[in-house]
This record gives sequence, C-alpha cells and structure tokens, in this order.
Amino acid sequence: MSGALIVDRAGPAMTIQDLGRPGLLHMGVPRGGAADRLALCENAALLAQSPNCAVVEMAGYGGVFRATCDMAVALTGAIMRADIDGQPVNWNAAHQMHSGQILTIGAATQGVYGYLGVKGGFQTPVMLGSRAAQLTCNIGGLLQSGDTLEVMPATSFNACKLDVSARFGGSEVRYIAGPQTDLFSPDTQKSFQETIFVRDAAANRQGVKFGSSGAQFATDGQLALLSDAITVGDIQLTGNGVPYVLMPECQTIGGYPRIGTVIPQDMPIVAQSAVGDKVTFRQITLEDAVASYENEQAITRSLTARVTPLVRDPAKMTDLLSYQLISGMVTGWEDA
Amino acid sequence: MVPQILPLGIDGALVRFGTVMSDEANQCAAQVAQILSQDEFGFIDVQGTLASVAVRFDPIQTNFSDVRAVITAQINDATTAQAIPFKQWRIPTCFNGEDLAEVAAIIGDSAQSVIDEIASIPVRVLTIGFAPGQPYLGELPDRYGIPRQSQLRPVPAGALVVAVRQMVLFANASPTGWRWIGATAARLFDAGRDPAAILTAGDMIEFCPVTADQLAKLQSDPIGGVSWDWSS
Repeated sequence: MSGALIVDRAGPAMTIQDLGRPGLLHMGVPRGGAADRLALCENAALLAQSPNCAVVEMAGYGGVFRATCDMAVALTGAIMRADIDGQPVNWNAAHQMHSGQILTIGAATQGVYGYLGVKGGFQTPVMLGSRAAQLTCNIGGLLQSGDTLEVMPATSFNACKLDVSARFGGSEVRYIAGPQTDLFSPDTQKSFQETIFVRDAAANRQGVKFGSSGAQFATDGQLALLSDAITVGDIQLTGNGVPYVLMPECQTIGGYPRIGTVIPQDMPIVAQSAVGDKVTFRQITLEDAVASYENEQAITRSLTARVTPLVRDPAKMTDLLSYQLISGMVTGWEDA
Repeated sequence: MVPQILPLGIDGALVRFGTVMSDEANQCAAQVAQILSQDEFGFIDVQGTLASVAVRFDPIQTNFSDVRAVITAQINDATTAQAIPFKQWRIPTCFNGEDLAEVAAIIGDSAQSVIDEIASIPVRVLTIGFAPGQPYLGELPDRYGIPRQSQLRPVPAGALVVAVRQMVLFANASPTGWRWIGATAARLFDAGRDPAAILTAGDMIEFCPVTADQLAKLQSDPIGGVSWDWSS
C-alpha cells in the first residue's frame, strides 16, 4: 500500500533530482542531477538511505506539501523556513509526518537550493536511468501545484538531525588546471586568483556567473577556439572575459576558453552562493584534489554516523531562540 | 596522429588530436571514441568531439595516470587496426529552407546546384552536442565556408542549416545564426526511446531530396523516414 505527498502549492523552480544520469555525454545529455550533491548526501544520511534516492530540489523557495500517508521527510541544503501544521520544524533534520499533515516550506534565508527528501525516495518515473528532471533535454519538468508524488509509507520514524558543513555566503573555491589553462598568461592566472568575485544574478542549473570590478580575464584569439568537451565545474570565460562556473545541466561541448575546473568538493559552495556573495578561486594540484575526494556513497556513509536524535530538550535554548527568530512565534517544539 | 592526453576535471581525460578542425583529427577522434566505448574499458562516458575524445572514470577506482596508459596503448593498436564500421544514414530532406536562395547567391551558383551538391556529399557526424542528439556535420567543400550571422533567427526542429563548411541538423526548435537550407522529419532524440539518440560521432549521413508533400507524410513516422545501413 503506497501513499503520496501532494504538492498543494509549488514554488517557481522545483524539480525532482537525484545523482543524475552519467554515461550519456555522447548523446549530448549532461549528467544533470542535484545542484548541491552534498545536500543530497545529507538528506540521504538523515533517512538512512542511498544518496541516489529522488528528492525535491527547491531553488530559492519551497512550497506546500500534503501527506496522504504516514511518512518520514528530511530537509537539507539552503536554509528555508519550514513548519508542519504550523509547528516550526528544524532544517538539516528529518521528521515524521502523519497522514493529512501539511508541510509548508518558505523562502531560503541562506543559500539557494533546498532539498526535501522522503524515506524510500520519491517514486517518480525513471527515464534513461534516473528520475532527475533535465529541462534542457525535455526530461521531466518543473513541479506544478496539484502534482502527486508517490512515496513509501513510514511510521514510527524517530526525528533526527545532522550538523552540516558550512557552505553558504561564498568563500574560497578550489579548482584544478584543465586542457585550456595554458591559454591564459601566468599574469592573468595570478590576477584571476587574486580577484574577489561577486555572485551575479545570472545563475541557473546550467551555469553561475561571477562578476568583478577589476580586470577581465581574456585569452588571445578567444573567439577562434574550436568547440571541445566541457564538464561540470569548468570555469568558462565568455567573450568579455567574465567567468561562469558550469553547473550539472551545462551543455556537453562548448567553445569558450576555460581557465580550470572547480573540484567536486567545492561545487556546493558555488551552487549555494546567493546574489552578492563573495567568492575567490584558488588553483590546487590534481593530486591534492583527488586525495581529498570521496564519492557520494562514501560521504553519505560517514554522514550517517553523525546523525543524532532530535529530542524535546528544554535545555536547548538555542533551538528555541531560532524558532522565535525565524517564525516570530513562541510556539515551541516540532512533533518529535 | 599522436594526441595529447590531458586531465579534464578530477574524473576525466581529454584525448586531443588537434586544436583546430581537420578531417584527420575528427576521424581519429571518432575511431578512438568507438574503441574506448567498448565495455571492457569500463569508462563511465566516452564522448567524441570535433577533434578530441573525452572519457570519464571513477577517481576512486582508478586515476589519470593509469587511464592515460590504457588510452595510449589503445591508440597505438588503433593505428594498425582495421577501420571500425559506422552507420550510414539516409535522411529524407525537403530543400526549401528560407535561406537557400541566399546561400546560392553567396557561393555564386543556382539553388538547384546547391541542392544537388549537398545531396550528393555524404557528411560525417563530427560530434553530437549543443542539444541532445544533435549532430554537427561536415566538412563541406571550401565554398561553403559561409560565416555565421550575428543576428539569430528561429528555425523549427528538423531544420538543416549551413555555415563554416559544416551543417547542423536541429533536434529542437532553436534560434541560430546559421543559414537554413532544408527541413527534415528526423526525430534525433527521445528520452522515452531506446536508444534515446540515433546518431553517433563518426556516422555518415546523406540528405536525400523529397518534396514538401512527401516530407509532410513522414512527419507521422516514428523517426521521420530515416534509415541506415552499416558501412562496408
């Protein structure tokens, strides 16, 4: 017997995401998948399941969701205001929802991409090996008010939480050299790493633009480059020398020069940078980048070990205060 | 051709046969892509582009140095190997694009000569990209070295366009600065179909002239009247 989470009201940019569909670049289909893969791992850890379970990705704003069965839900990624039947609930935590209850998720207060997962993952159709929406390939679409997302029922779920690593507000982003790094002079590469960039308003699941007041970062003969393979994390300098970091739904080939590739470990910082956040780029070696790399399964395993029960503990005044700050209400604790 | 093999992210290698377009570099890339896509190598992705091949691997299971060694060994073998068969496609095409007369004027010939010439030259799928399943095709004779236009204009799905000695067959309706010479009913990509994309880098295509009426009938065909055979 299955149930569903009904989207009573959909935010403007909500999609189903998972780890995407690797293996189709030869068809011109990018890997796609969640913009912040670490938040996907955190969500999976809270629900003790695979990071490839499908979640709802919410860009900037959430929605209103109604449970038609008992289920367990987890909230990760960009911090968003959330409540169940009017009772504020913790972010970076997982909660029991009972049949008939309503989960309301508001605007992001930090970061960009929030994630709503359920125990067992959303049972939406699999296309080309993944449930992830890929709008540029006409696969899936934006979630709409009235959509029904099939879920597996879960009862007696013990609420839990996870302390997550900081990634909001921008910071240093590490990258490695790529096939075109040498097209940029040493001076340009140096000045690129010394520049403080500001996240521009132009950003989506294909790329994020970073502006700066300083120098531009052009190569010689920029417009004559032959199109070549491009990849997620590439720092692409467009015609006027402005950097874009390529995101999971980027095209598979492109003709703009790329100064390097942001390492997967730092892509959550790029994805969650909000308009106006400051970012700097620092080049590291391939060896250093590989040495600190873990795949999503390994990350999820180690996060799972750090999940702790979420209990009604009156001594936890910081939580109580945060409820007041966020909601303006003094009604206390979520239904743990 | 001896390629450069360079890191492409922490999980990739780029096998680059050239930094400018050449027929030889493109053929090498298509052939090496075909070899490296075999299951035995276990790459996550093998993508042939205009003059390179990109492979993706699991950086937990292997590393760039080992991958480079595997690729180098295969390239040495490939130089002595027999040519790998590719598909030869025939795509019914109505040469009624709005820019056909302009293309004819630019190269100083009649529209009919352009149609006859394009229809008689099998072109190679140089790479797939820009949109899922969408081929870049070439190369055409020198006189088709027509510059791209800076003003973009919309063309429908299935449009055949030409510029810079190449052609693109559009998978979806799209704006383009290339000149529109023909229409097809080809369904290049459908996520619900297996395989989702029909063309692979290295395949050859002939655009066979049909009338507007014949093309209209082909619109209801699941793949738009497209057919193929193995190369001998």
